[in-house]
Amino acid sequence: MVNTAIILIIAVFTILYLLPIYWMGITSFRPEAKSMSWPPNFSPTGLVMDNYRVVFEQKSIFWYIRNSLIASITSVIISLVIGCVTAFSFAFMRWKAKTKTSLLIWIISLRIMPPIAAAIPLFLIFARLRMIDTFPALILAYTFFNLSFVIWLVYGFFKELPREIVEAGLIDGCSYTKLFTRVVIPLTIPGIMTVTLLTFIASWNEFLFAVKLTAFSTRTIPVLISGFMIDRGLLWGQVSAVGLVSIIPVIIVALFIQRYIVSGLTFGAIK
Amino acid sequence: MIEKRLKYYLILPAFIIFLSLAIYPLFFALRGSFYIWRYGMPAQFVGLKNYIDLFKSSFAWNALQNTIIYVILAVFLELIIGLVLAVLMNRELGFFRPVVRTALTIPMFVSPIVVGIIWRMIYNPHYGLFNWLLGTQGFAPTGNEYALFFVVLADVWQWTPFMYVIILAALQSIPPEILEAGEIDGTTGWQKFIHITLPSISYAIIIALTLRFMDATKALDLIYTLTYGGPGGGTETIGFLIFRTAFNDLNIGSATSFALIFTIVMGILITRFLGWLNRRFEIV
Repeated sequence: MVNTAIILIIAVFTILYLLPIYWMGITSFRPEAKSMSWPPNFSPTGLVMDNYRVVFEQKSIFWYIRNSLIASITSVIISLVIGCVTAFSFAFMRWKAKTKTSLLIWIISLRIMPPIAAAIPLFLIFARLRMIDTFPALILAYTFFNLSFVIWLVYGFFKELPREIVEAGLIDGCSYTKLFTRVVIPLTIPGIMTVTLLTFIASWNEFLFAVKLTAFSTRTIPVLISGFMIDRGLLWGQVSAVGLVSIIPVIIVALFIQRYIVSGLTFGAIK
Repeated sequence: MIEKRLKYYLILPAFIIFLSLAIYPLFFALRGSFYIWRYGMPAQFVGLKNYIDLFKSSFAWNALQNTIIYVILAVFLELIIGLVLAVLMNRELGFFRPVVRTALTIPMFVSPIVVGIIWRMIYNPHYGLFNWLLGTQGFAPTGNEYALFFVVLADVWQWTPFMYVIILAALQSIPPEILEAGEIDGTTGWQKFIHITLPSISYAIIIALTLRFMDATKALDLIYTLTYGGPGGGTETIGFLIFRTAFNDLNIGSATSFALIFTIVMGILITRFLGWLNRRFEIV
């Protein structure tokens, strides 16, 4: 009985919780003139593709998706390669305990730094180098904030590996390269996949650097969305359509990373 | 000894990135903070004037106050609701629990920019769900003196699942023997919760609170699309004020001085705290 009651409470809570996303979903399928009505209309009827036609054909949303994908994926790859190598050094090579701890804490404190504090000087530096509105600027900025996250999480996964496996590998005359590519990476691949997806999402959603470091040719999806609110008034149907398109990869990713989500959300502090 | 040097070579690329994209810009900002510098105009050296002005600026104190209210309120509500949910869900519920967990995970990964848009729709005074649920019409939550609380509500919507997911995982990793031992000793449900359950999950709660505290303090994107700091600065946080000073007013000197103080204060608080955490729980 108690269980049924609790299930009922939680079910209602969950439905209420997802209502905002559902509402954005149906709004995106309503004609702009009917996108807002009183009382709010929750029924999934009278749905049309008008807004999607507009955002795909006139607002060239594909262009923004392409930009977001280029910036996010490149940055994820760079952060992963550099991050894994750094974590490998910290996890398997002989460091003085004190040096290692202070270096790792220093790395995490960079992530804690308010992004706005980095964004202003980076904007000025990239402007001076004439790199505003180029992919390298955006990718470098994303790599900087992804990297500390990758190092911490991957370091946590590496440290969990049984010492014997690693030491056995070294005694067998395994080079560090082999140890890294044949032993350590294959054993931690599920964790690394989670890190990959989380950094992808963080870059995909990033707004502050994107809005200042891009102008026309490299604008990403979040910048497009923010532009709806400021320049074009309240086109609820269209902005909902873009919003939904931007959420879809996120929902797919969320389904994949359930197993490692706690570790991923806490920088590996909780397993 | 190649191995001795190898470990340094391996961390070198990461440190080049950190030094060039974090440390160098910080020094760049430090220099800029001593100038009256409007973007696109020649800078003029003024020493500490920006810093002194900052302490006299009513905008800065207003943003500080808003940020403190925002962070404390949001993180507190997220903790309480997340804890209650996690405790309710910590029992045999079959397939139900993973389904709910997956569903609740979604808001966390939605860009705050989109969350701001969604809640702007919800708070719309004429057609929004918020007025509909209250049975009113025409009330504009983001256009009145309580606007900050409604921004907090959007933050709570997005981030309560974070607390819930972490606390539930911690609850599930408590060894059953500990709880059973409590039952034999005849403790009541509430005593068991206070004396056995809570201490066992305190580490998870501290970590979750720390991370939320850090992120909420930096809040900017959500406010950008939800209220743009308005009405009349009522929802302007430190992050947003710095953003606006730098990129709307183009007052680089003032913005960098504020950003530096913000960074230093946060940095001291957090590294102190992490050091303590590491001594207590050995996280590194």
